[in-house]
Amino acid sequence: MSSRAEIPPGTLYMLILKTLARGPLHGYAIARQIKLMSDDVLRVEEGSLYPALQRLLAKGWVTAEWVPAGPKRRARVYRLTPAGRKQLATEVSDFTRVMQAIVRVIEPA
Amino acid sequence: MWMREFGRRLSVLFRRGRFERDLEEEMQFHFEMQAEENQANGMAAKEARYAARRQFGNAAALKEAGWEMWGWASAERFFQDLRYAVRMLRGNPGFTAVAVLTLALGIGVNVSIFSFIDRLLLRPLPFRESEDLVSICHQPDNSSEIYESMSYPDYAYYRDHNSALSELAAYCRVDADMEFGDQAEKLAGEIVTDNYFPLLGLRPALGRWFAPEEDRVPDQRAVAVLSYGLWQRRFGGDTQIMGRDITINRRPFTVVGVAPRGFSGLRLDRTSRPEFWVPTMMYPTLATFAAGGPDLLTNYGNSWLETVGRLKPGASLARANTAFARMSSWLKAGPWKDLWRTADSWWKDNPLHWTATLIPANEMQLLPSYRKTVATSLALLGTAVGLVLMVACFNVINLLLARSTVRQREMAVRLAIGAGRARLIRQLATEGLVLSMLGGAIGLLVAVLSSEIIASLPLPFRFPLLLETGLDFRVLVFAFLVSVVAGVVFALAPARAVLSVNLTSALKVDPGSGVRLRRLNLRNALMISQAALSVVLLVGAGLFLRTLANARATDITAEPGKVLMTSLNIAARKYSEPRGQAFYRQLLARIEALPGVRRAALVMVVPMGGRRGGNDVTIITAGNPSGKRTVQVDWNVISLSYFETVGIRLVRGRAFTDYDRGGAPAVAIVNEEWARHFWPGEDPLGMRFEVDKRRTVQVVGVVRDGKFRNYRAAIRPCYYEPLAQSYSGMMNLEVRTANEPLPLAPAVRREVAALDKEIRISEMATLESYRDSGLGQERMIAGLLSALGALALALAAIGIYGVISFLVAQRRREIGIRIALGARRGEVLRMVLRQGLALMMIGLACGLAAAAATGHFITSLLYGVRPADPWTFVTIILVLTATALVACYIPARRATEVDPMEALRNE
Repeated sequence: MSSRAEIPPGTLYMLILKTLARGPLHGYAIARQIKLMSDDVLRVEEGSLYPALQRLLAKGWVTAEWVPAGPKRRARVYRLTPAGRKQLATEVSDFTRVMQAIVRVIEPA
Repeated sequence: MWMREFGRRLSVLFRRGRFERDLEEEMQFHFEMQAEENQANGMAAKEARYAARRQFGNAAALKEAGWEMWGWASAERFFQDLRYAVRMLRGNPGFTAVAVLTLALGIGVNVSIFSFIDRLLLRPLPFRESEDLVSICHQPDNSSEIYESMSYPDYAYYRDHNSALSELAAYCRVDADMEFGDQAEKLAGEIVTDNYFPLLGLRPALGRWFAPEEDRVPDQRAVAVLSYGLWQRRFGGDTQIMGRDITINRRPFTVVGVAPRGFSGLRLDRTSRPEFWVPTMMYPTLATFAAGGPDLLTNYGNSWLETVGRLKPGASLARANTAFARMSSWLKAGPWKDLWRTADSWWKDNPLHWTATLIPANEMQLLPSYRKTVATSLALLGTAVGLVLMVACFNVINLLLARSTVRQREMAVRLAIGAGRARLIRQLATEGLVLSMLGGAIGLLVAVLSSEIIASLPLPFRFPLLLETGLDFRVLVFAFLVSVVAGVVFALAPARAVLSVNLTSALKVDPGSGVRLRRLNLRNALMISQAALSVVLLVGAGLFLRTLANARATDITAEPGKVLMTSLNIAARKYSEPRGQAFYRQLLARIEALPGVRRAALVMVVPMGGRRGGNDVTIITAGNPSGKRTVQVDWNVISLSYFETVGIRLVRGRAFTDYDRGGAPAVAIVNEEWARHFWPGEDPLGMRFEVDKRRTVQVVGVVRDGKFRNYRAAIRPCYYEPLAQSYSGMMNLEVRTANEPLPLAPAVRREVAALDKEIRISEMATLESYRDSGLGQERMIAGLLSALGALALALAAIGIYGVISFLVAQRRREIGIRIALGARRGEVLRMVLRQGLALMMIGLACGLAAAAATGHFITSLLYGVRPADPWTFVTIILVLTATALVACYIPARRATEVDPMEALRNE
């Protein structure tokens, strides 16, 4: 198991939106997906995941609906909205720009 | 975009239960998935669930954090704070009542004064682009006086020859008798040009305005517009009123329109609102003040119209002013010159020295000189109420500080269990706001009441003024802002003390030992300020009370409270002079025969009422016939026993007698100033002077000097002529009675009616109240400042009482020890008193210094007293010391009753 890292502040929304860009998922699956995709480096705590999802709902970037998940059980599945897709593009381009700038600064000359 | 987001947030707010259930189910699902995964990874079922639960953490905190994301949390916290504040205030009804009432008084008087400042000085006219409205006035070249009225031909000239105004209208205030069935009512109205209403941009509430052809030929088209108020009051808002006839001055007028609700003309310097409007050409029926007839349309010498015009879009006031000044030069070179050339050149009111000047109509709501007086008085009162509000706020801060001792434990507990300091400050601010909003709400009542009182005072500003009271949007906004500011100020002042809590010591049995010193210093400072502010107010009150007393003292009549007076107009009866003289003689004889009447007399102009009689006389100096000079002097006409009736002492010579009648040698009585001024060092008796360059009169007596127009007028040479030799149809009746004069009024009225029942006499009043009505402004300021000063003093007394009580409670143990060690009770009493008095004396000194330093601002309003008046200062020192003694004595007394055993055991 590789070492875990804190999710850089401000990027959680982007990570969730990106995860949902491939298709609707429920909360648990979002957390798993981020873990898997990052090779176990990034771990999303429930304590930040669910408030963040509420935030995205409030902003109108995602919608949520209940779908049956096995007998007597429902899962709340989140889906990206067009506004969310636009927001994701903005956040990714902003983040990439900053990231490249940081890399340029810290790379050995 | 944000609308949709707000909609989403709102729907969550109203479905909070659903939000919580969704989140719970979602977390349950997450937890089960985690447990299943753990199990799949080889954990035992129970262990897997346990691990999942542990990993999940605090579900309640998560829910809270999720809710936070919807942005309602701060609003909820506010309502929580609000509930908490209300609970706190209800739990302490005594504290709440005192604090709210104090604030209500403080805020109320401020709102009241603001409503007057707003209505009289700040508010623009409620018409379209009122900043473009101007009034044409004339200003003498050598004074700041403003003459606002002009003649009809002046108006017509300005209207037809200017290029700066898109329109120029004229109006004139008139009083008229209106008849409604068998009832008659005296109503104020306005004569206006046909373009008056359209120029203001007004639409009639009903019907139409005047047509141009209705204002073209004199006395032809009797049409009228009614005010909305009159239409409602007298015609029940009947929409069929158009075309009906109403009777104005006994002439039928056809109603053509109703003015919009609330329209009350352009001016505030009137006693009542106009209730009807008629075209200028109806002046023969309405302009009864000028018996000029058709002359009124052509005579440049008869000024009766005031003007309002609208500047053309983009026209500058300065350029328009220049143009009008040029036009007035043309008037001076032409028609005015012919008219006024013969007038004496020294006459400063001679229009040949005038220049036209435009004054914005918003400013002309009051004559400029009135405006200045109103501004000065209201600035003074505004300062006074501001000081009272400060004292009130200090008092509430004091109360809050006293409570903070009790609350420190509570605050410490809340801090200890994790409340943030910001949250606690918010809590305190909310409490403050709740208090001040309650105070503000009740303050509105105080405001309405005090405004009513001010408006009901006789002539509170020396001249007629349309004083309307009541709350409107602007005043409510002001009240709200004052409340918020007051609330924040006094909520946050104690916050520092409360929050600088040392947790460990505060949670111990003896609370707050760590902050006692600083808070006490703050309280002392507050108390000193309260005393100082009250002193400033009281000094102001004292100075104005002295002014009022000095003003009254200039009245030379004796016991004016026992003289009944009324105006008597027999001119309307068109008696011949012998008939009129006979009427006067019979009337006086009948009234003097009434039981309870001592003396009765007639006088042309009653002194001290704002008016004076004046006449040109030529003084004849004995032995120097060439030294004749013509001067204007004060002049009055009196019946025989006038001086006796009002109690003015004759200094030399004799009073008028029955022999001084028409045909007998003309005689006069002069005042001492006359004798001093015209014949210094000579005996005035027997001297002669010419009146109107026609009659020569001889001086037979000298009376005491007295003021004529009002108390501020200079004493000028004055002469009295007997009514029998100088007939007038407009006199005032004065009756000296043995006792209370007003009960005799009906009897006097009966005697007048017995002689001629067509003669109407005005409302009767005592000479004293007549004189005092000329002192309206002095009385208002003296009265209000006294009331405000007393209020501030009472608040300061409550403040010092609170501080000393607090001190005694804090020093209980120390006092107990002193008593145990043998200190006598008297010593303890003196010790506490000394402390309280010391604080109060510092406040007193600061207040007196402040009063002395700022006194020069009010010099112009004072009379016969300097701002640093020793009598006032000494009185205030005594009053304040006495108040301080009383306020300190009660807690000091309590200190002497400390039982040393108990005080020491308590610790």
